[in-house]
Amino acid sequence: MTLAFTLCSVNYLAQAHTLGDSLKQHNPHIRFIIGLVDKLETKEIDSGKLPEYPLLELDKINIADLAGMCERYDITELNTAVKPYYIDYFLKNHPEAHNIIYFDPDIIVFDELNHLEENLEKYNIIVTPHIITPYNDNKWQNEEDVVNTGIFNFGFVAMHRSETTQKMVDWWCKKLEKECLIDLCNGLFVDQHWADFFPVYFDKVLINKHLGYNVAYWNLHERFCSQIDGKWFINQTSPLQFFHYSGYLIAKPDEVSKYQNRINFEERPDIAPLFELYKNRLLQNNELYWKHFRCDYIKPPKIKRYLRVRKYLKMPLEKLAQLVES
Amino acid sequence: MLFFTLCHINQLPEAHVLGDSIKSHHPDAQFFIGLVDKKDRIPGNFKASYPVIDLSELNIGGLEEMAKKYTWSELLADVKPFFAKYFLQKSDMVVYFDCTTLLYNPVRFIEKSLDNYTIIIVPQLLHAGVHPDEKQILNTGIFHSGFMAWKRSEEASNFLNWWGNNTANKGKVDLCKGMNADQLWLEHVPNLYQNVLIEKHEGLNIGAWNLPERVIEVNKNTVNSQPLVSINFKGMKYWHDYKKALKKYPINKKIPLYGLPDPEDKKFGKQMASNIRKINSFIDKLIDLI
Repeated sequence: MTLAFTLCSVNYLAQAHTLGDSLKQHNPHIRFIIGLVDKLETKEIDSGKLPEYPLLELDKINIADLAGMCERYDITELNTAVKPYYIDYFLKNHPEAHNIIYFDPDIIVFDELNHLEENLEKYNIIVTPHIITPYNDNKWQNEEDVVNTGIFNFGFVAMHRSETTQKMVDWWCKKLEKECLIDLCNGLFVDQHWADFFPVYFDKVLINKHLGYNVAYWNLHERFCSQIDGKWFINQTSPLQFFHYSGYLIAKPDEVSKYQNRINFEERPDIAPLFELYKNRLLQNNELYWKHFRCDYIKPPKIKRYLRVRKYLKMPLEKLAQLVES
Repeated sequence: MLFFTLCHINQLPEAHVLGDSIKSHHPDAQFFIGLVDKKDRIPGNFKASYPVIDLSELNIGGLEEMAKKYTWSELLADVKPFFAKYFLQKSDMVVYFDCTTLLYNPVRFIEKSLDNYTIIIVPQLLHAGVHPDEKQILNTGIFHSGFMAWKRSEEASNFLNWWGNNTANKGKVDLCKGMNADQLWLEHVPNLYQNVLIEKHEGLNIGAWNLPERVIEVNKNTVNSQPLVSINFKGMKYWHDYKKALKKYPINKKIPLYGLPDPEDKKFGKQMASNIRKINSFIDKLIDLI
């Protein structure tokens, strides 16, 4: 059995719902679970609007030091840090699941995932590179930004149950317990940068270069989208498997993604219908209703008092620190 | 097979000791020294026993600008793609070692792999969860640029053009921005090129970065039970035997011609400052309690 899951808070349930529907449409045999980094009981929710997929809340998967992680991490870091913990939970509690696929909630699936499931019979782990051809420009993001945040995009990862996979998940969990930070100067970028180690640390890791996987703003320079007989293809040859709408906001429908300036709709009319389709599906799935819910794991901003007192008390030591530094 | 290394004038002794160790295991191989300086500046009392190719023989378009913005050690690393391209014209199989390397066993397995691959790179670490600070490796590079091998091919030359373009323009050490001279660019290589081998030999390119996960048995000449192939003394205190070998090639010190002086090592000061600031953050925590 193949199990797919995503992770989100209640405000992203329209996205998760849309992903689940697209997966079900093309792959009815794959079981889909929404991992909820949030709490349902604290909110007044119109249950008629909830997607039909099982929701698995973060506090139900037995993370040993969940309190510590919540304390250490902001919401982005926490959301990404729990990914291997969910995989670990599925490996231990769903023995029938031989394959586990993770998708970011802002992905939709466009095809039967046969290519993926066939490869999962041969490999332990399947990852997708951000780029497989150089950018050759000076736009944002560039090749060094990709190096800094991780060469594989972890909006997607697929694993086949095996001893190696369990070892990999154990190691990843251990790293993400304390070092799932955004701290680029020290080599840290959430769960994603750690995964650069996968192909050197573990066996049978497939760096999947199929053009139809994880198509998104970071690889659109090498991938052109077109429809042939109602089916989407990349560069007219590779069937689109899944598209990743990373950084796209319904409130800003003219912008491809808030994280970049390389791709825009004026120069890339080929992608416009894909985004139009996505926007409509999100609206159908009540994006405007869900987006207002506040996640229980967002921490209130820290208010610092006595700023002056702090400054004067710390001054002598700060001066000393500056002196030894220079 | 052709081996080459890169060095400044002051490192000519290291390059020679590497050359001697290569010759002892590969008597028929060619060994070249790429000098990141000018040949005629080599002090007169030093007789090079291996062929030396200097930067002026390469015609690197942006060399002048590179020399203005890069430090000595950045430049030494950033000219590597250009030298590799140059040597691939002389031989169809080329192997690079840092000049601070010593070869302990032949690398026939590399030669064999080049039948099937065009680019061979070596990871810094091979074992999950052993190194005490894996994020430091993540920050500086999954792969180490102190060893590499290429087969003459369209793919290798595409790679070297792309790599050289990045080292010429973005070759500074700036970890906050994802740059570490020539090395961090290697992260992309398995993704951008098809016939890339990630060589996981336990005994290859042993150095300060992977010592925590490699058990060296000197009397058996093995590392984690595989043959010891090469040790790279870069950033390490030189071992007694290595120092002794270097004494065979005395040289008068000379400041490199190209590049800016390397900054002084400020590690100690920075560590002290960060410790002092930890006391200050304790003051913050105390005030938070009020």
